[in-house]
Amino acid sequence: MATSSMTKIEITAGAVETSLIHESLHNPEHGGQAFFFGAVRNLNHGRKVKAVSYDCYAQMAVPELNRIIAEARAKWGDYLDFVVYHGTGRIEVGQFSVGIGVSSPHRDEAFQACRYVIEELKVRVPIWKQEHYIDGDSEWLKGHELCQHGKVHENHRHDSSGRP
Amino acid sequence: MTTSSPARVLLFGKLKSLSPRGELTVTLSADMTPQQLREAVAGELTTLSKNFKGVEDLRSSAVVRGDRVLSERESLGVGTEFALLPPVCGG
Repeated sequence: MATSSMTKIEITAGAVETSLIHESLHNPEHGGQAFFFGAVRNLNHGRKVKAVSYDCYAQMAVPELNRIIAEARAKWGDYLDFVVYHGTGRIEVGQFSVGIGVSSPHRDEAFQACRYVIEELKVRVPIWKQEHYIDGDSEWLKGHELCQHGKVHENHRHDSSGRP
Repeated sequence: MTTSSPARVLLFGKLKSLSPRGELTVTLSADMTPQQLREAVAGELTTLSKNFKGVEDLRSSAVVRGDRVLSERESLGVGTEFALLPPVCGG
């Protein structure tokens, strides 16, 4: 008999510990696991980055992540298991700010659902980042507007920072 | 007639630095629009600092009650706490 699907969402203080995401996925019916880990990188638009501070409105972030996961289940199967961790506060270069794990009986839906969650997270979940540079300067990064002002949400699907 | 009362407005990201506590108390009424909330916040911030230059940041920020972004056409409704969310960039 099939077990019910699992969802785990954590907004953590500090960097994400990736082993916690691996350990959370242990469904014996699932032969495919896909992961995405986002780390703070040392260069952005030619500026040397030392760390990034993340701010989060958890009261809305967790419900929005639940909505994104529900959408992914509707697309790729209600049996998928999801684990999402996002860090807050100051995170140093090389540390992980976000980790997503998806498990499924087969790899294809795990890959697709994992990609869906990170892409939607970046444009819908209320999280902000402030880069701290080697020269002592810091800057809040531009992002995706949640308010409509007559615009269509789909117009904001791509990262305005120009990052891949 | 709708009565006005004080409400907390939580600030996030770039907006947080505009107020020492990362939040403001402004007088709102249930029939006000999100834009009127932004104007009330701008007024309060101008009172705090004559050099306030964050109007454009406020304009691009969503007004949230609970976990829901309010559309620009709806009224704030009854609530004692709102949040102003600048453009997001998680991940």
